[in-house]
This record gives sequence, structure tokens and C-alpha cells, in this order.
Amino acid sequence: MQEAYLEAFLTESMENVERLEAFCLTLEREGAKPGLLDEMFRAAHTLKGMSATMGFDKLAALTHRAEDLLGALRDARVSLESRHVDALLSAVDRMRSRLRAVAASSKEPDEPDDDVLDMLMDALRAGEQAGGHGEPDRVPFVNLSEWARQAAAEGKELYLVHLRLVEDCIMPGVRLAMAYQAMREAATWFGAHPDEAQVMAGQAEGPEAFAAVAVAPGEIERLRQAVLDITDMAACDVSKADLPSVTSSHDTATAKTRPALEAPQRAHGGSGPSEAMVDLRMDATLRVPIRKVDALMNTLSDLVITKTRIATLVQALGDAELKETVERLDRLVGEMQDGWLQLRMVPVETIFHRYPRMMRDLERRLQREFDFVMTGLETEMDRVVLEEMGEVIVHLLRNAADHGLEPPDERERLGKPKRGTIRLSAYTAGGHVYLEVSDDGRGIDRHRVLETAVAKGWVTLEEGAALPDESVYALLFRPGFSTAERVSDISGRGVGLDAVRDKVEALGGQIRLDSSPGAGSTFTIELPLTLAILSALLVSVRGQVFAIPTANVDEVRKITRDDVRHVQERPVLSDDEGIVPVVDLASRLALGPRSDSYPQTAILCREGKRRLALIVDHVLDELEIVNKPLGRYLEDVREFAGATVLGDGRVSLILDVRAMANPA
Amino acid sequence: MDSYVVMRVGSERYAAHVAQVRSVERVGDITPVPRTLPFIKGVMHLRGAIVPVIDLAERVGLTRAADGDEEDRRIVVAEVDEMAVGMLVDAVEDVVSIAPEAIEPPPSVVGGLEAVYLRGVARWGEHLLVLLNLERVFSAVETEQLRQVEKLVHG
Repeated sequence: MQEAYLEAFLTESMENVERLEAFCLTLEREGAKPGLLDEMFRAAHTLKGMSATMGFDKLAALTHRAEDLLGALRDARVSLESRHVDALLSAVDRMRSRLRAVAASSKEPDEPDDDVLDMLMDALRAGEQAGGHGEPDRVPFVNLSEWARQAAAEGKELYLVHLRLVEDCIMPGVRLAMAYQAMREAATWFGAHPDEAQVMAGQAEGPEAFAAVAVAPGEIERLRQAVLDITDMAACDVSKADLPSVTSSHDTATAKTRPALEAPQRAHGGSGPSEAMVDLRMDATLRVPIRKVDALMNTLSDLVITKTRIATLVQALGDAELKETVERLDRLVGEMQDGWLQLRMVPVETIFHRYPRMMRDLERRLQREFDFVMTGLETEMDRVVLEEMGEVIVHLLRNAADHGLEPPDERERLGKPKRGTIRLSAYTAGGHVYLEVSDDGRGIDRHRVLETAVAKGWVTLEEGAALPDESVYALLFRPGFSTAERVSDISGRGVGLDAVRDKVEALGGQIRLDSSPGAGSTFTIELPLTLAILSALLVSVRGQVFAIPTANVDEVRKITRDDVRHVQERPVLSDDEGIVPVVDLASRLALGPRSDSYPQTAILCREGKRRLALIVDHVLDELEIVNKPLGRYLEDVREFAGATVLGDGRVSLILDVRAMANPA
Repeated sequence: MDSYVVMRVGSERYAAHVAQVRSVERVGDITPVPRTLPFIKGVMHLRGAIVPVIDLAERVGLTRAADGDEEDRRIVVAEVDEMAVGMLVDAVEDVVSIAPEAIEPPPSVVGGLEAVYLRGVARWGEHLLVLLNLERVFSAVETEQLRQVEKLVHG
């Protein structure tokens, strides 16, 4: 039964973790605002309640502790320090990894969270001590909520009792044992720390002890008095431990603040009922697993093919009414295809939301100071393209923080604002999506780039001096280029800008770099709106039909034997732009020997800056095709970017022009 | 008891666990994918998706005995690790139940088939049924590719 809810639990909890993380960053940036802490408390509270319901006790314990700290912050019992945010972010990380583990195995991993629990507790205690509360040792019981449940089942209430003997007590063990005895007589005993055996054996050290007991409602004050009657007993504080999911307010006049136990109950006045309401809030969006959307698309493309067949049959029949019906079917199918395309589009926020946290951590590790600004979060793009761009953006952002921005003191020296700005924006224009990463750092140092290029023998000193800025920046994208003075673990991961460019171009996009010295750099990535449907040229080679994306095609030319020259024994064509290598598709794809009869049909293709002429037997058609992946089994196949199903139901492979430029 | 789909390749009988078999298809158009390994016959269109087709006999290192009726040939589409692959076989003969205890560990070589591709063997009437380890049959394409290249280089 649990499995049925697991998926819903995971999605919702992951969302709450993400929200908590985003809130933590706001908290750090803007300080403790009451509304914000309320929101955070609620997110943690929901998370805790849900994980307890699902039986993930460790996750529930973790969120409970985070909730305690948030409650204390919200109620201003402690004042905000950076260590609180650090502890909360560590907790967020742990919650996320716990949820991931649950997603992978449906089970909660056994590893303890003591490190994070301690961090949260220390952060809370430190804050309280600073606040003058002087809280004693932390609550030593782990199963309080379970005990509370048991107590409730008996119609009793679970209390945590904190005993303190006078400083100069001569026989602390005896006194504590007496107190334990008194409590056993008046209440249901759950446990104590130090435990009874230790106390009886005289092993109790120090003047403090904790006990967990359950009493009937209203009985606690009597118990407290009984304990206080014992000689040398300096204080007896009691605080009620409730079931985690229950929110009720009650009078705790006699009880000292015990945040580790009480945060949910201490929720001041109005927030009690609204918490439950928040959990039921419905979103206007529908969450659907990607595989379902893809499965629908597969059915849809099958429908398109069937429709084409019917159309052919109807054509032969010549029935006007039937023909009209098929035309209508054609329109409807077209609309469905458009609708499906929309389903593939997701807002960039789905990927971008993880960057603020990353940038915050980078800021600390690199000892930079900057504001990270994101705009155009609602911009939609193809889910697959966006996912592929995730790492590329990470790389560019790291690059901006590590190499783009100057250290704060250097910025001050230069008369720039001490805090830099790194900006990530997304927008659409003219059938393309644009992603921009910019910084207001030092900009690209033209001389240093040229120095490296000359050292590598790419250009001579004279050539370099004559190059326009644009061409100089293009050198940065060449494999093996790196101007970083040191290889840092932030951006020097062996992936350079060449890898970034490769990725962008593989998706049919382009990347451009603009920079002005002293004022910063901007990387602009231009991407197609969708990869799902593309315009392609259908060609035949030795009887097999292939699709070539028209985005790669400059022109189709008939060439004669005289057009072909040979450079280093390789056939080339030449035009006013330069020379173009000729690739005979039949021999490149091992479909047969290269043809030696002319004229031949050459498709002039362009991939990035590279050009090549593909020799084919015939050009058949130009049409819009649905790009389908070849699947994991054939993922190592380089020559083809995917496949498409033609109107007659046959499969045609989509050529990867980029791969054609490389030898087989 | 687990159910297995019994496939005939030449005179050998192979079995795939039903949990891994998505469907059994008649052989339709298969588009060859140039520059792939010989046992990869190409890709086919199956209910909107593109599915690679391998020749099971060639994949597991059998030389196909030229027998059987073309009409009987089938493509058994199996899915392992979210990877769907069609296996071209001479016939699909039955779906049988086999108790786990009836499965014996694979001998090192059965009918020219390396043990890594096997889950075990079991009796089925007078036949020896070879239970395929599809994870292995579908994986290690890369290793296979390397081995082929090595063969080319070293002969």
C-alpha cells in the first residue's frame, strides 16, 4: 500500500526540500523576516509529518530537529547567525540524499545522521546561550515521539523532566535515585538519563538528570512538587512532549522552554490551523512522469503513419466525403502534435533553481563576493535541451566566479564595487532560446590569450596582433586552451570551453563570447526551441534513405569531375569561401565503393565553422521529421543522431553531419 | 515457478524470463544501421519507438543453421535496464514454467555459448533449455566492439 503513495511523497518532499533550500538562501541574504521563517517552519513541518507517516523515522527525526531550530528562530528565542544557515543547509543536503536513497530503494538508509543532528543542535544551543537562556545538555532521548504515542494510547501525557541538584549536593546519586523513585510511584516511567542502574550504582556524575514520564492530564504539577520535596533538589522543570503531528496550544507556564521537544506546540496563536491547510494546497500544474509523455508521443507518431496510409487508400477510392473526413483527421493529428510539443517544453527554472545554492557555496570557497542574479526563469525550452545545458551552465558559472570576477580587495583597488555581479538570463527570440552568463569582472585579457596561442604555435605574433577581438576570443574555445594561472578544483576539471562549445553545437546551437576589458564578459548560447521536430533533406545512398537536418545544409549542387581537386590526395571542392572536403557517403557508411561517375550530387553542409560536401545518389524530398532517439543500446553509434519514421512506416536514420566530417 | 519464453535458434532452445519480454513481433522492415557490429541487424519501428534488432544467434556466437521456415521467424522484444532490444530468432515455441530449483548452474560452454551469457540450464522435454542472461547479452557491446577491432588489427 505504501508504494502507492511513495511517488507522491517523494515528489512533494523533494519540492519542500528545494523550497527550504531556496528559503535558506533568502534567509542568509535578507535576514530573519517573520513571514519567511513561518514559511520555512511550515515546509519543515510538512516534511516531518509526511516522513513520519511514511515510516521514515530518521528523516522525520532530522526534519524535526531542523524544525526546532526554525521554530526557535521564528519565535526569536535565538537570533540568526550564519552558523544557523550552515546547519540548515547541511540538513537540507542530508534530507535530499535521504530522499534520493528512498527513491532508489524505497527504503530508508540506515546510516545515522548524528553529524547533522549535532550541527543543528549546536547551532540552536549556541544561539540560546548567546540569548542568555543557558540551556543545559541536550535531550538524551531518541524515541520521545514513540513514547508520546504510547502515553496517549493510555490517556496520559508524556513529559520530559529536567532535574537539577544544588551545586554542593553530597550524595547526588542517592538524591537522583530518590527522585526517580518518587516519579515511578506517581507516573508511568519511560526512561532516564543517566539511567536508573547507573544512578543506583553511584555512577551518576554531575547534578543534572533527565527523565521521561507519563501522567494523567493535570497531574504533572503534583509530580513536580513531589520531586522538589526531595532534599538538595534545586529545580525540576517539566515540558510536555507531544505527538509530532499534533498541533495544540497549551499552557506551559511551569515548563521551561525546551525547543528540542516543543517547537510545534510553541507555534504562536494563529499558525496552528493554517499549517494543516498548507498541506492540502493544490497546484494548478499536473506532474507527469516523462516516460508517460514519451509513450504518448510514440502512439501519436504511429497515428500519424496510419493516417498517412489511410489518406493514400482514400486517394485511390476517390470518395469525396471520405476524403473530407481524412482531411479533418489530418488537421486534428497536426494539432495533437503541436500540443505534444508544448508538453516537452519546461521552464528553465526546473534546472536553474539549483544554481543559487551552488553559487553561494562557490562564493565562500573561492572567497569572492558577488550577487547572483537570475532572470527569465519562466522561459520555456525543450526539456532534453535544457537538461543537456545544465552542466554547461554550471561550467560557465564556475568560470565566471573563479576566473571572471576579481577578488574583493582587487575590485576595491580598481575602484569597482567590492561585490561583483554574476548574471544568468534566459529569453526567447526568433525561434531560438538564449542563455546568457555574464559577470562584471576583469574581462578577457586579449594579450594573455594571444600569448598562450603564440606559445602553442597556433598563431604567430604578427598574425595575432592583426586579429580582431572576436577571433581572439574564438581561440579560447580551442581544445587545449587554458589561461587560468592555476588549475583549481572549481573550474579546472579538465573540461574547457571547447567541451562547452562541443555540447552546444551537438544540440544544434551556437556559443558566443563578448567581453570588454575591466568591465566583464558575457557568454551567449543560442539554441533551437526544440529538438523533437526538425526540417530535413531526405537523400538516398545505394538504395537506403537517410535524413540530413536542413539546419546543416547550405546548398545542393551537381558537381562534375572538373570541380573536384585533390589536396594531399583528399578530394575537395573549392568556392569563394575556401576549400570544402568531399565525403562520399556510400564509402563513409560502408554501403559500397565510392562512385566514380559524374555528375554527382553534392550536399554542401556546415557544422559550426566546418564545411563539407556529402556525395549522395539522389535527393528525394525536404520535410519536417520527428526526431527519435536510437536508444541506449545504440548510444555509441556516432554517425547517426537519431531516426525518424517516414510516412510509409519505414525507419530512416538521421545523419550526424558533425561525425561525417571525421574519418570513420 | 517462473515463466520463460522459449525461443528456437537453429537446433538450440533459449529461454528469456517473461518479466523481461515486452512483446513478440513478426519480422517487418528492418533498417540497417551502417558501421555497427554484424550482429546488429538494424532498427525497426515499433509502436512509435525505434527499437534496435540483434540476431540472437550471431550475438551469442552461434553460426546460424540455415533451416526453418521464414514464416516462423520472430523478433522477441525484451527490456533490460530501460533498454529495449529486439532479438531475431527462428521461432518462438512456448511459454513454460520452470521452478528455480530445476535450474542448474551453467556449464562453461553450452552449444558454443559462453557462460557469461547464461543464467543457467534446465530440462524441457527432451531439450536442454538455455536460460539467457539478457543483461549480459545486451551489454558489453563496447567490449565486443573492442574485441572486433582487435581481431581486425591482430588478425
